[in-house]
Amino acid sequence: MQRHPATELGRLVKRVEEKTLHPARLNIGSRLILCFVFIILVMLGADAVVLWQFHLVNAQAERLNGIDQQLVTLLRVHTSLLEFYAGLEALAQTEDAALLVKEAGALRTAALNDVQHAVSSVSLLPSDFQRDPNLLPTLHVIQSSLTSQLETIIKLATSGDWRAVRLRLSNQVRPLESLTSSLVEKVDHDATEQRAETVLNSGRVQRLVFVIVPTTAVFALLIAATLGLAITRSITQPLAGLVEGSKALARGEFQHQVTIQGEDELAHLGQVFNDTARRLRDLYAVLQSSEDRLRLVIDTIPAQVWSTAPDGSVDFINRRWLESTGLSAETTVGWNWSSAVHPDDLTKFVDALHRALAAGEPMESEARLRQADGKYRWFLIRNVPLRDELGNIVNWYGTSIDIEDRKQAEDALRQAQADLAHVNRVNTMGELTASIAHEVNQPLAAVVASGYACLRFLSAQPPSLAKAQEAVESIVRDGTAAGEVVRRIRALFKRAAIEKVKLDLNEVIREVLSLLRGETERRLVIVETDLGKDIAPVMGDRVQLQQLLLNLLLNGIEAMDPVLDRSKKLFIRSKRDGPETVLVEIQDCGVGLKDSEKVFEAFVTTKENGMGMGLAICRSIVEAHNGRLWATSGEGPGATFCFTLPVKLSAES
Amino acid sequence: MNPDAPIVFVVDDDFRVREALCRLISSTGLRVSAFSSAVEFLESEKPDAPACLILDLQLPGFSGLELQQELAAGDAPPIVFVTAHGDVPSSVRAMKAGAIEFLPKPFNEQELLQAIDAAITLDREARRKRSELAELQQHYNLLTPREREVLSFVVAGFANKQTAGDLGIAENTIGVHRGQIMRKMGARSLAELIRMADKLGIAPTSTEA
Repeated sequence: MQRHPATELGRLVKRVEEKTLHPARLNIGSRLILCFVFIILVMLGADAVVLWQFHLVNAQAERLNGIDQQLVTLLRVHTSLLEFYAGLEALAQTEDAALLVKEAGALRTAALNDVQHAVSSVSLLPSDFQRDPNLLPTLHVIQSSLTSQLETIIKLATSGDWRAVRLRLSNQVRPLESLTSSLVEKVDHDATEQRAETVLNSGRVQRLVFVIVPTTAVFALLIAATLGLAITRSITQPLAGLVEGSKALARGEFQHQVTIQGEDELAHLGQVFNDTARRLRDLYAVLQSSEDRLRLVIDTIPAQVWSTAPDGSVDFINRRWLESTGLSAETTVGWNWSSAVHPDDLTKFVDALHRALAAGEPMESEARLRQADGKYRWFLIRNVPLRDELGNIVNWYGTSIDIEDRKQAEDALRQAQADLAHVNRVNTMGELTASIAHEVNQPLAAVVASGYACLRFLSAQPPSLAKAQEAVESIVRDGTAAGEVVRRIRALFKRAAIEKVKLDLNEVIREVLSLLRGETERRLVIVETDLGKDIAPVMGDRVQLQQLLLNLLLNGIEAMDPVLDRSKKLFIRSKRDGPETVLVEIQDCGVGLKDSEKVFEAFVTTKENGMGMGLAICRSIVEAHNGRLWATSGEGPGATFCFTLPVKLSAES
Repeated sequence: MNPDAPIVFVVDDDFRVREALCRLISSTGLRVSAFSSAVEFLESEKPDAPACLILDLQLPGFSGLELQQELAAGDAPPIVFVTAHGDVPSSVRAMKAGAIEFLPKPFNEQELLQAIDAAITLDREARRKRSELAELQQHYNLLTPREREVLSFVVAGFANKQTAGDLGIAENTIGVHRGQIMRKMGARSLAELIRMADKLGIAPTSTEA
């Protein structure tokens, strides 16, 4: 497609105008290129003006040079002619025709050469140079007349007419010389005139150059500077806006917007900036609301939440802590929180914390913390480390939960259990009255009977003293036995605080079995024992362990009440169970258990007149001794109850 | 010592009680023999003499009450129960089953000795009755079946005529049977015969029959 060059050019000019008026419409690259091209064109224009001025100066100089050259050529021709005539005259004086013929040829050639040289020099002068119009015709006349005159002279000389020769020389050759002389004078005159004029011109041109060249340079510079400034401003202004916007963004002023002009790269950048700022603002708002929610959660959850640096110094604490303790955040940060811990618990708690920090293991501890009202409440304090991917601890996070109510409930429960245990013990003893009475009355009966017998032996005639003494010895022995029984019963009834002492478990078993002897005999229960001789002593409360064994053995005995088809056998075994544990098994062959775990729950009973407390209390007793109590239905009929107790290690005395 | 002299048996598992009882009883001049369990007592040879059994209620394996039941079938001596702790149901059971006394330990000497005395007297009487009854039984064994039949009518007080009608035999024959019965049983009167029949536990024929 061919466009009309004029319309194309007009369109370009219009576009340039538009772009110049609205520089930001054009991309920075194109804008800069356009600007540089324009500046270069202005420079070229200025250079052209300067060159034109130099050309004017140069033309004046060449003109002067042409005038001088013309004068020099004429002078040389004139000189050459003078030499020619001088040579001829000298030859004519000698009056030697041969010599004249011989020398005249050389003279003529030299003169003609000079004239020819002058002709060619004049014709080489620049065409615009104004030559003297007589110059070339004069030279041609000299050229043509010189040869003919010389031949005439030679002819005269050969004829020996030396006078005619001398005459001819002065009459015919001298006019030529004067011709050139007048020409020289005229040309010299012209040259002087023209030189004066040229010098005048030259000075004018030089003055003009001094004005035009700096003006052009300044003009070009001004244009370039204006354009450069405009371009720079069109770049730096939006850039400044962007910088300002970035600073605002850095300050967190996400609502800041950059003003956008035009559609160049910076405008695009500004748009992106505004979009980014808007998105950041939205994101920040979401983040803020999420943080608010999280903080609300952390401040509201019913626990004190905190975090510490790896060295344990607190760097965050939630509102609940501040409200609960009445301390300010400043007084809590670092290690100052310790003022809130009860002095009795502080050492233990700080030790536990240091151990956890050193080991990097989660911590769990209980301590009393002072509340805003000055009272102390129990708290369960837990602490866990957060590690980075290299396993280094970054932070510790912890919670403190108010367990005061639970603690009190636990105390109340412990008290209730103790009360219940006592009641149960008394109840058990009520059930055991028959056995106890049997145990006491048996030796008493023997004592009384022996006493009567003794009286008889003494009142007989003669008194049988030997038999009486024997009877009294029996009385002493049996009375002591009765006292021992009473002592054991008293121990069982005693309601004492738990007092753990070093105990031989086999001894406790034997004591309880002897207490139960009446019961087992009454119910025709055969008791078999296998008491390990190597079991280590345990730390325990004698009365509670007696009660435990009493309950378990009575349970076994009662479970065998309905048994008629086999012998009622109760088997008790004690043995070591590992280096630190003693195991006791009580096996009956009674009705067995339906659910070997449920029996330990309170108020669950298989007995018609049972309260269902016995086994629950048994378990609480075993657990209070750090042991374990369980039941199995085992092989064959009946049930087996087992409990373990930790032995007293000799190291911890 | 006279082999017919009364003997007291003591069954108690507690050696102290056993020892003391033996000492006390022997101090009164009675023979005494002690056992630690019911089984030991049952398996022992016992002299043929009036006796008394002092039995502990609570015995291992074979309880006092069970021994009482076991002995009730035979000619066992009367039982004086002693117990270290007697519950009411046990004492009622024991007394119902014919125990002489139920004494709680520790027992009073007088009560014990009186109970022993009463038991021995009772046993002596029982032994006498047992030998009497054995004699009667021997006589009764001599009767023919028809005579035993007639005897039950006699004991019930039926006249010969009515008896003959009921049994479908002649009235004279009934008279002959009665004479044989009186002779074989050694009864001197009808009243004596009726007492003998009573002792033997012969039931009179019911009037409706």
